[in-house]
Amino acid sequence: MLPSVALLLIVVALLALRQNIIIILAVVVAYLHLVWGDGDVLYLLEDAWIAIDKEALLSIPMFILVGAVMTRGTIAEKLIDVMVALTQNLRGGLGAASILSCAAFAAISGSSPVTLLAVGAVLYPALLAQNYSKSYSLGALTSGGTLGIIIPPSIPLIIFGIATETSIVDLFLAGLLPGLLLTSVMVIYSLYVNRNIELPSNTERKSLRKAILTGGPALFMPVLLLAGIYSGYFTPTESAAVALVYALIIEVFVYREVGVKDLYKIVQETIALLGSLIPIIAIAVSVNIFLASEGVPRVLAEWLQGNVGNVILFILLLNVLLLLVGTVMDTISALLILGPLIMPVAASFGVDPVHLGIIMVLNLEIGLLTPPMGLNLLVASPVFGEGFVSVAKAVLPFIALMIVVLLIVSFVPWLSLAFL
Amino acid sequence: MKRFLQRLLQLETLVAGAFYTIAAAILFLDVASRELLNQPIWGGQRAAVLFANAAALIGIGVAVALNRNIRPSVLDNVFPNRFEGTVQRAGNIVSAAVMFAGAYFAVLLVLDNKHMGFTTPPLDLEIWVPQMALPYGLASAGFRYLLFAGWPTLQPQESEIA
Repeated sequence: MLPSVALLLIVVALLALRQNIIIILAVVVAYLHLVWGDGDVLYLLEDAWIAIDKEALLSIPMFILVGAVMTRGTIAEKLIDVMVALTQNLRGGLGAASILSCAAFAAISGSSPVTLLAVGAVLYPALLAQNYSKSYSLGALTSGGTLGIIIPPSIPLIIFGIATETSIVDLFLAGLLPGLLLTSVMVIYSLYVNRNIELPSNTERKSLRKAILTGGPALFMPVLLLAGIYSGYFTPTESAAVALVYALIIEVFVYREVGVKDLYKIVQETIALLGSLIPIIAIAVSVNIFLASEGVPRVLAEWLQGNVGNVILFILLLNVLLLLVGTVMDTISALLILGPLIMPVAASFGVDPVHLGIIMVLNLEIGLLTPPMGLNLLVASPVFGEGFVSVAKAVLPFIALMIVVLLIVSFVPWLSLAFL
Repeated sequence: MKRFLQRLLQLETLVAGAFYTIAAAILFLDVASRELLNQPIWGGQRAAVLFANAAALIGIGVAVALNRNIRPSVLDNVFPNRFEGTVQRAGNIVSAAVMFAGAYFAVLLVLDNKHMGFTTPPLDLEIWVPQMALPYGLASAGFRYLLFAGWPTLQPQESEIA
C-alpha cells in the first residue's frame, strides 16, 4: 500500500474514532517524520518547543484573558446601549446597532461565538419586538459576531503572523480598513433592508450621554490597545498586558462585576482554551518546518507559476480554495497549516504577505458561516431556538456582502497596505 | 475517582493560573519600569514567555479535563448508534496512547537537553527545567483519557463553543 494512502486511512480512522484535532495532527506529523522524514519522532517535540518558545505567542494568552475578564459582566448590555443610542435617529437603527454592537464586542472579546451569545441574548428579542424580520435578525447577529476576527486586535491575525513570521503590528494596521469596510457595508445593508421600520417613540429612546458614561470605560479598551500598538509605544504583547491590568481595574473596581470566584473561573476557562490552542500551534508549526525542509512550498510555487501564471487567476483560485477549506476546517488550524504553505507561492505572484494574511482571515471569517463546520451557525441554532437550515439561509445575504468585500480587498491591496 | 480528578484539576488550575499571573505581572512591570525608570526588567520578557509556556502545557491536561479540545465531527455517524459506548472507549484509549507516546518522547527531549546543558539566554536557567511541563501536560492528558476509557461517566460533555 502506498504510504500516502495509508496516511489517508489513518486520518479517516482517527476521525471515525472521534479524535480531537491535536491527536490527529500529532499522528499525521509523527507519520510524516517516520515515513518521509528522518525517522525520528523526537524532532516533532523539538520543533514544537521551538514553535511555542516565542515572545510573540505571549500576546495570545494575554488577549484571551483580556476578553474573558471584559466579557464576564454586563459589558455587552453597556455597549449595546451606546450603539442603540447612536443609531436611534435612523430608520432601521436597531438593525445597524446590532452590527455595530457585534463589531465592538467582538473587538474586545476576540471570540465570534461569545459575541453571538452575549449580544444575541439581548438584541434578538429586542429586534423581533420592534418588528424586524426573523430572517434579518438571525442573519445579522450570527454574521456580526464574525467581525471580531478581522478587526484588530485579532487572534487569527496574531496566529497568521506567528506562522508566517509576518509583523503582527503590520497585520493589525492592515486589518483596520478591511474591517471598517466590512462593518460599514453590513450597516448600510441593515439600514436599507429595514428602511420601513418605525423610529422608536420618545419613551423608548435612550440617553446617549448616559450610555457613553456607562459604556465608556469598556469602549476605551480597544482604543487603549490599538493606540498603544499603532503609535509604536507598546508591542502587541505589551499592549495586551497593559490592557489586562486595565480590564481588571475596570471590572473589579469600576463595574464591580468580577469577584474572586469569577476570576478562578475566568483563569480556568482561559487555561483550558490555551491548553487546546497552544498544542495545535506547536504541532502545525512542526508540520510546516517539515514541509519546508522537504521543499514542498517551493515545488508548489513552481508548479502554480507554470500552470496558473496570472496573479488575478491565482487570487481567485486562492479565494475559492480558502472558502472551501473554511467549510470543513477551523480558522486557527487552517491559518497555521496553510499560511506558511501558501505564503511563498503568493510571494512568487507578487502578493504581499500582509495582504495575504488579510485575504486568508477574511475567507476563514466567511467559513464561520458556511456549513457543515460553520461555528457561528452551530452556536446560533440552539441559542436562538431556530433550525440549522433556517440560520444557514438567514446568513446568505451577509455571506454575499462578505464575498463582495473579500473580492474588493483581494484586488485592491491598498486597502490592506495603506498604513504600512 | 471523581473527587481525585476534581482536586487534580483545581491544583493544575491554580499552578497554571499562578504562572499566567506572574507572566502578566512581569510584562506589565517591564513596561512600567521602562517608561518610568528608563530601565526594562532584565530578562523579563524571556521569563514571562517561559512561565506562559509552562502554564499552557499544564493546560493540555486542563483542556482534556473540561473536554474543550476542538474536534472535527464529520465522521461521527460512521458507526451505528448501538456502538456509541464502544467507539467512545476505543477513542479514549487511542487518545491516551498518543498522549503517553508524546510524554515518552517529551521525557527524552528533557533528558537530552539536561545532558547537553542548554540554557535560555539571557537567563542562566537550564532549558530542561521549564520543559518539564511538556511531559507533565501530555502525561496528565493521557492519564485522564485512560480513566475516561475505563469510566466514561467521568468525561464531561463536549462544549458547543470551541
